[in-house]
Amino acid sequence: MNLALLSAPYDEDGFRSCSVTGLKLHRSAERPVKLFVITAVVAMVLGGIAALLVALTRWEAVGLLPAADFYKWLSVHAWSLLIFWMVFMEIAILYVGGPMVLGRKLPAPKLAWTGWSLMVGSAGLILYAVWVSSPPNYQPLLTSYAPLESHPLFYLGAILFILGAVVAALPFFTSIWQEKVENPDRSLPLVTFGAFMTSIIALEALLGGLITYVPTFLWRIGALESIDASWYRQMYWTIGHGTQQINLVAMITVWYFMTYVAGGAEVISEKVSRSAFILYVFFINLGAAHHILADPVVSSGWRMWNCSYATYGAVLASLIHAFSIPAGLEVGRRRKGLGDGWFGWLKSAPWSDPGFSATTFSIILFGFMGGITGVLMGQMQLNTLRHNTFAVPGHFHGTVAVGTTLAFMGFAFYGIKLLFRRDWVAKWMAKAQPFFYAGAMGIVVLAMMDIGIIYGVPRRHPSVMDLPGTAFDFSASAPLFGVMGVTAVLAVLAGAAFVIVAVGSLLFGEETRPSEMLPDYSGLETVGTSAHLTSMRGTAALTAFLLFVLGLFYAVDWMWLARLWEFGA
Amino acid sequence: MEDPVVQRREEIAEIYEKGFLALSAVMLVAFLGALAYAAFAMNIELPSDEGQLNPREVRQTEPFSDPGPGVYQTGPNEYRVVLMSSAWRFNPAEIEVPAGSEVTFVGTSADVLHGFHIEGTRVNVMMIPGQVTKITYTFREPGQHDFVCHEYCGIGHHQMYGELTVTSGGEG
Repeated sequence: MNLALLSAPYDEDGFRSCSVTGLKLHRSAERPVKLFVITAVVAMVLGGIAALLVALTRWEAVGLLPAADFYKWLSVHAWSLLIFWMVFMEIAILYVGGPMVLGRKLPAPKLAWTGWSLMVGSAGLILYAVWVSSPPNYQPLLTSYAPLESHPLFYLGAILFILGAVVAALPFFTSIWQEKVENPDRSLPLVTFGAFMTSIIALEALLGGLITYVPTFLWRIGALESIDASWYRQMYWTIGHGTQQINLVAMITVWYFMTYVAGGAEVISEKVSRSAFILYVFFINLGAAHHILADPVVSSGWRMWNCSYATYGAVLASLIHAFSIPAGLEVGRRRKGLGDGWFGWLKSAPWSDPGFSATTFSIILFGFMGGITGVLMGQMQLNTLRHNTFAVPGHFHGTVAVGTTLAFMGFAFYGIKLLFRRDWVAKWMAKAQPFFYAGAMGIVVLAMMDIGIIYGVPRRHPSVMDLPGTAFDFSASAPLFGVMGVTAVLAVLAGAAFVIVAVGSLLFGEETRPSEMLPDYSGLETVGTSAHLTSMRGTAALTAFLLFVLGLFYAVDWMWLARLWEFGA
Repeated sequence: MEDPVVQRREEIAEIYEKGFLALSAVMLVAFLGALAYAAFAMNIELPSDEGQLNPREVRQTEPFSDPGPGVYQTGPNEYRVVLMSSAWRFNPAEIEVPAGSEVTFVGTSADVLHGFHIEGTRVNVMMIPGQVTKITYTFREPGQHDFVCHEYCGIGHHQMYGELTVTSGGEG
């Protein structure tokens, strides 16, 4: 352990400047960021262990856990990864995107510590409630759909976790406010702007969460007589999907940050990128309505407005980012003389830098897997093909498990160097990790989607291969479950490799000098106005391909649905 | 913004961006068109509001009290299935209809959320306490379909399923 041996880099006011990013970092912001990142990694370890147990149960050739344990570990898996790993990372991203990028102190650092304590305590409460639940207290999984009763402490934990996250976000809001008071005419940097939009979406989601969980808690302890199941579903998804929108917007903010730091990207058009973030604020939470497309109570008009018209406002925003980010990378690299032709800028990219490779795989896999399936599933008729099948977890593993998680991994790889000023240990492992994880998890996602959409296998179900007393079963899907099982084990190993590098570097990594840290693009500025240096044809080709694949799958899904709906027959 | 490089870059960026945005917009408008066409011109609709009931008095409320859960013939090649879902069974769990029948399922839940998906069909809906779910489907080919509860409903969730048999004895 050499945590105490770092040289003191701070000046008298507690600032130090980062020679790589040029940021002015203050001690008060740096320390909470480290704390939140480390806590997130701990949550990831727990969620990863749970992932292994869950995957080896659904792969029924192994069939590891009995049903009761399966539901328990599925709850642990969902809360540890979808909530704890993500939200702790996101608070860290708010502090980086806010005070650090702005070169400010973290205002009211005590609130950061209070928020962290509240979040850790309530996360413990939630896990405890899951651990001790036995009938009549049922496992909550992620959704805790009332009137199915979970342990009362679970709801209390959820409420406290939300409050903790709000408290932890307050210093961020204060720093934005201070910045605007002191520099009313200066616009926020794009990354700060992205973090700010993330926090607005987050507040909507967290408010929805309080409206959901407080009455549910009161109902569970008997202070309210009954709770309406449809009401709960609609309210729950304001936070249930809302938190996932936070993941999305935080991930995109990380994409802008990492392509700039690790890849030498530029922002091609501030105006367009900012408009896209604003589109998210207006539309993305309406998209959460797709969770109740198969519910009887909502009208078609309601479904169409929320899940198509409003959602496409958010989809358009995503498509804008899908273009701007690679285009920024392409132009940035071309102008620095790093590659020509169509894809030279990608070929010459620092693929052996895990910060870059993790970010790039995150962008590609999120777009092609999470993004495309999200657009298809949110379509009200096409949703029928996928609703509550294994394709649903397939979709959100495509968004959070490859997309957000890889982006956060890349971000954490850089955090180790930039914040902790440690060199990576086991460099070969650090270099291979994003390839290994993206490859394995990518196949897991494809297998899950195929199992769901081709065979109709339900999600959240420990045993579909043998349904006693019936002639039918889902055993035709067994080979694909085998593929999923093997690659899921590999993905968990790749996740473990990330933890080994991250924790190992913090404990045993050598202190790095700023000059040895990361790629330095500042000396490569070239000046030229030729079209070649500012071409975006590589990005144009890649994104046209994305649109083509989206259109193709949209058509294929309708053909598949046509067979079931018997139109044209 | 006097820097000619920056200016030139922004001009080029605008051309590419406009092109891509136009393509994206055309695509999303086409999706919206497909949705509207499917819903209004082809009547490809999802189950909608079919009424509410008091979830604690399900068993005293029609049609779940009278005629109660079961399979009823309502016309030539027309059947109605009154389906009660509760932890952890469907009632009826065995459904038999002749090939060619148009079957209307009317269902609800007596306790917590349940899901109802008939394998190999587009019957894929939620069963929600307090809400009535209605969906119609025509079974053309003889054969067997499983239906599973696809919303987690407690520790016995995985034991909640049933079977629908389409017999070849139909008139159609």
